[in-house]
Amino acid sequence: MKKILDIKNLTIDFNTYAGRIQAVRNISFSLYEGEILAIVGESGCGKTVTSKSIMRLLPEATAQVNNHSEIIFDGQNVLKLKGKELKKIRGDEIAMIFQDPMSALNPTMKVGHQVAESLLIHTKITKKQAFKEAVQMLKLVGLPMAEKRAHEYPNQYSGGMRQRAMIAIALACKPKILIADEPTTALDVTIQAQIMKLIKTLQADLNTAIILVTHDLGIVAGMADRIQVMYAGQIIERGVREELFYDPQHPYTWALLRSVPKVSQKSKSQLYSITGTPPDLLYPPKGCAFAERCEYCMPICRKDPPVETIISKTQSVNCWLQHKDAPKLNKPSGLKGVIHGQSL
Amino acid sequence: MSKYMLKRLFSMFLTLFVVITIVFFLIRMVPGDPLASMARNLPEQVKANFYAEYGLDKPLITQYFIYMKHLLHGDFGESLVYLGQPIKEIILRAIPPSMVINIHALLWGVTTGIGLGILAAYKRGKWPDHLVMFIAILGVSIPSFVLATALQYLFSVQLNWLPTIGWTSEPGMKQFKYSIMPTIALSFGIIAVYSRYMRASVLDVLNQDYILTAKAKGVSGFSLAYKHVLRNSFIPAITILGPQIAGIIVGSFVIESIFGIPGFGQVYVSAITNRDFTQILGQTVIINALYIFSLFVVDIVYGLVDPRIRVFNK
Ligand SMILES: Nc1ncnc2c1ncn2[C@@H]1O[C@H](COP(=O)(O)OP(=O)(O)O)[C@@H](O)[C@H]1O
Ligand SMILES: [Mg+2]
Repeated sequence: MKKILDIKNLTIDFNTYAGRIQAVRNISFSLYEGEILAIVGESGCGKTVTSKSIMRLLPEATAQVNNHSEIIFDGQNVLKLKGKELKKIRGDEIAMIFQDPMSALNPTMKVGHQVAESLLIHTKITKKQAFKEAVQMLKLVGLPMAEKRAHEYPNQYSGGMRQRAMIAIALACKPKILIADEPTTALDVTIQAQIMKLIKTLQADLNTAIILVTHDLGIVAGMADRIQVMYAGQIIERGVREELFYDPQHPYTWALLRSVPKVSQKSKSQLYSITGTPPDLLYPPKGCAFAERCEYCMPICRKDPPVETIISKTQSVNCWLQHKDAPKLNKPSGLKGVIHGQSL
Repeated sequence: MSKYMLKRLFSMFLTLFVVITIVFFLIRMVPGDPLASMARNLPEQVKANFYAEYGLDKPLITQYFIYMKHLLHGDFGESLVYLGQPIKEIILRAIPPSMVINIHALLWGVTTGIGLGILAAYKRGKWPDHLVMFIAILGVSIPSFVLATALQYLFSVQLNWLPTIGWTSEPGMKQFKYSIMPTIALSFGIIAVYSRYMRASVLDVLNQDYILTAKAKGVSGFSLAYKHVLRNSFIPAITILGPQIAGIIVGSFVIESIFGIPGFGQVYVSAITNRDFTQILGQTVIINALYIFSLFVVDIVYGLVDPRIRVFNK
């Protein structure tokens, strides 16, 4: 498979009055043609900042991307692009869907025009043709009565319809990469499933590579090819879906898996949740960022950051438990149930 | 016309009616009457004749009903001071100069304020922003009559570029010159309010998710500013248009007196000093009708710009 996006040593800080927030701390990963890569982690771990940086959408005044960082797309470093070149990538080659469909659409512009806009920017067609194609696109994403609805404003749409419209906007120019930042978090559970199914279907049709950002492992169980777990601005475990679900290595991944509701579980029974809170990114700990909350924490964990241990060609983990001198543990029970519940 | 519009029209007339009623009784509670301000020592009989002639001897409530009846037929009555002069004529004579100045001030104030506000927002934290905010603070803290006097001193006394006071009813260069200083003095407050408001509004919109959506589509430059940022930031700016119009109308009372413009405000102020009841009432009716009507127009414009308001029309 061909790499289409290669991110190297991405480090992003925010300069705020309180100090320097180290939102993303030296992460590297690649995206391959046509795959779905899930980035999973609790809220605040840097998923959105990572996604936005790929499209250069971070606020220039406060966000500072380290000079050694590279985001290579099509042989060029996106972080160095200017004006026209950047504009060409945005919307045409790489597109993005945001978390909250309620605020992500322009309230004073007809939805049809909002879909047509990117076509008008990136292709040589007339306004009329663009609008026609926009209606086609809205039909494709399953918007009911698309011809009529294209002439309406976002306030006349429901949440699910708005997210469909957002998907239509993002896919209008058939981008090579789609970044979906928690595309269903703001939606009802039933709508969530529909939107996920839609993304999966369109991905197969258009052969778009997707970076799917979510805080909920359950959502990606059915569709991700590969999964990366993020914690406090770092990637702490990665692997193909089966590896992450059947043979997770990091205690944080275990905790994430245990906090996914299981279908087999009795609806009222208690759901596992991780105790404690992620570290303050103004002063990230010098050892393992998860140490404070880890049941298996050892003295070394607080002292030095764990190095990456390669588990297989596709799986790797940053955890001191992998060290040859670390005690051999039995993974917590009950992880398997998640996988069966979520129709892997 | 929709049900919503009809409702609005009805409430407009209701408001007008309430205002007229309140003003009618209020001005009668203020001590003094037209005769008191003209001559102090009139014989009792002359006074009585005068009161009878104009119906001022009847009970107040009767006078009210008589006034309202005439008003419904479009009759504003006669001046109690300039005897024999219909109020309608006085008002019609006074309106054009006021219109020129008020409309100039409104257009100039709103466009400049909006322009400066946008500039300040886009140059946030840089010197243009600081300059605009400085102007805005001056604008709200310096009363228009102080500014008017300062302008007169600078442009008439010192530089001798513009006439200090006066007016001509003929439109043209001369009238324009007379109108410059009053327009600036009147519009300064609006510029101050609008630049601050517009700056906040643009900054707010720039932070919205849909601006990111637009950027992610590849929209940039003028398209981004016009279609996505400005269109949405105008919406809150429209809502404060009403109070600005009211501010101009009231502000022009003083400004017209300072610049010797025979407009609505000047006539109004003298009517109040003279206790010319019919004229005060007549002008109050006109001012309020104008103001309420402009609010109505503002509402319609608001609905045109913001589709979220448009649902009312259904
Ligand atoms: N514009 C910003 N200014 C300052 N800090 C920010 C900004 N955007 C994000 N952050 C910080 O960066 C960290 C990561 O945020 P984010 O990527 O949004 O997390 P999430 O994984 O929930 O998407 C958080 O600690 C957040 O406070
Ligand atoms: Mg996020």
